[in-house]
Amino acid sequence: MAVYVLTACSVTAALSAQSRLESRVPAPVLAAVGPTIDSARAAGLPTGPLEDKVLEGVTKQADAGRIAAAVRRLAGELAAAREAFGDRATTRELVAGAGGLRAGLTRGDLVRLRAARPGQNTALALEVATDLITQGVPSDTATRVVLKVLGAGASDADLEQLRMAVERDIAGGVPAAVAASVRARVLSGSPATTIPITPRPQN
Amino acid sequence: MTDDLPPELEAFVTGLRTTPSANAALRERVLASARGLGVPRRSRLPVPRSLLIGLAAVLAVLVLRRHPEGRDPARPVPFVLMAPKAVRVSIVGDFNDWDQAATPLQRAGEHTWWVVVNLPPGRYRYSFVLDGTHWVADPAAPRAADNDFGAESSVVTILGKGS
Amino acid sequence: MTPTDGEVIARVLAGDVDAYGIIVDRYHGRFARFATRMLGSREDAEEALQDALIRAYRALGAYQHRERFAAWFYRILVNRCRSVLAQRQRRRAVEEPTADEDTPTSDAGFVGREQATWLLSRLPADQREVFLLRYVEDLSYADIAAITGVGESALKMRVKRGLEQLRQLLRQGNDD
Repeated sequence: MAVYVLTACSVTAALSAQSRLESRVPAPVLAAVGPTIDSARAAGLPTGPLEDKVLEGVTKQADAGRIAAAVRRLAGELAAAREAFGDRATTRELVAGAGGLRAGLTRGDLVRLRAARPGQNTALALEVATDLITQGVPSDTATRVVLKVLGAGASDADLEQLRMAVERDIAGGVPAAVAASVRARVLSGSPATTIPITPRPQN
Repeated sequence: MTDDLPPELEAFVTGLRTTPSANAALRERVLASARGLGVPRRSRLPVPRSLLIGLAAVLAVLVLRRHPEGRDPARPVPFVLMAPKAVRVSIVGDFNDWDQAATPLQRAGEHTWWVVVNLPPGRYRYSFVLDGTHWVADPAAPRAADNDFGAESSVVTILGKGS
Repeated sequence: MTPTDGEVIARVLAGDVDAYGIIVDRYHGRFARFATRMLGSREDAEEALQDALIRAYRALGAYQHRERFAAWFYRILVNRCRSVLAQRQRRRAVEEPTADEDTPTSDAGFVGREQATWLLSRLPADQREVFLLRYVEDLSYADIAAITGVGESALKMRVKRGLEQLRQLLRQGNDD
């Protein structure tokens, strides 16, 4: 019985994905991405993010080959994230892990970031680390500062505050790595040392 | 020229010192954005933003009424773009199947475009599309890590209840 | 009389938003030059510069040292250029590997802008950044340290390595 229910569920999921793509995606693209999406589904990976990638590619007028390559790459990153996180990871965690890998985090970083928040959803920690990297913070610094605030018991709101504060500092001209380190120090309660963020006098 | 430069590199550096000519279009785009943003210190809440916040508050009430308790409700999220020369602007992303026709922005004033989208907690990639052809990442949001199709996207993260 | 940066910024903060155009006009040349040399692409440089100018405008009210606009702005621009380069690197990792570009040569040796741009592109980004700030933008090591967040001794080491590599490339180019 359980097998029938599972099969029925996956067939329903496959049909709904098919209809979501079929109404918008040209046949050559469908043919190019179909095998990857089917394999991902069979492997128990979430297919929603793969479908989003297809739709993004279609809207951005990419050709079938490029869309298929992007979907294959994302499927590989989702699989790598699941390998790092285990089978109980949520879709959002897997997507966050895939994004982190793309930005430059290593599998070791993913494992460490997840382990720093045992039993809780770690997606936001991964997402904040990823956002710091895309803003110019080196990946090892990004991992270090997120681990630091998690170690001090940071909530989701604290993590979001870290992300926004670093973004503001960078917009104000503070070097990205310095901004991340200083903000992490403040959020985790360590005393901040003096950082020369104002221009020095001309020679 | 800086005195510690080795003499054999002087010609090379001289070649690099030519300055690009003035760029009137860039100047105008920067000033258009500045006008849209308002005066930096005095006007922390320029007109289009106050309009948006009011609208967001109304939408928040409507959304919360539809989701009284329990589940994390969708939040009204404003998106704003300065695009003085655009004739139409839409937003596409993971929340609307990247459909250009699904979520058009409205014009507010001469340069500003805006829309409020209801989003449940989560993380979404998105991009603005100007006149159906020109892709613009949101200058006010972090960039997405992936750029598979040659046009950058942005990301927005909506925190869940109790975060 | 030409207004100082501080006077122009005071005008902007007092409500004359268009006065920001004076700052843009005043510094466009050198900022565009830095971004173009750093990124090796006029389009990318223009986008990075526009983005940085808007970010600076937004932060103008909070900025205290108004007479030092250029030094402050360089930090914003350097950050933007680094982000563009990081993004480009990630994109490159996805695409098929391409063969190294051939060395552009000319009868006159490495004197043309095309060759100079090619030479610069051979330098690692951190060396290129400090080389440009030091020798093309004529900034002191103290200023560069404030802009990049890197200590002066590390900067000097980068410059030394960069100069050595440039000399070597220059020799190769002229030998071809």
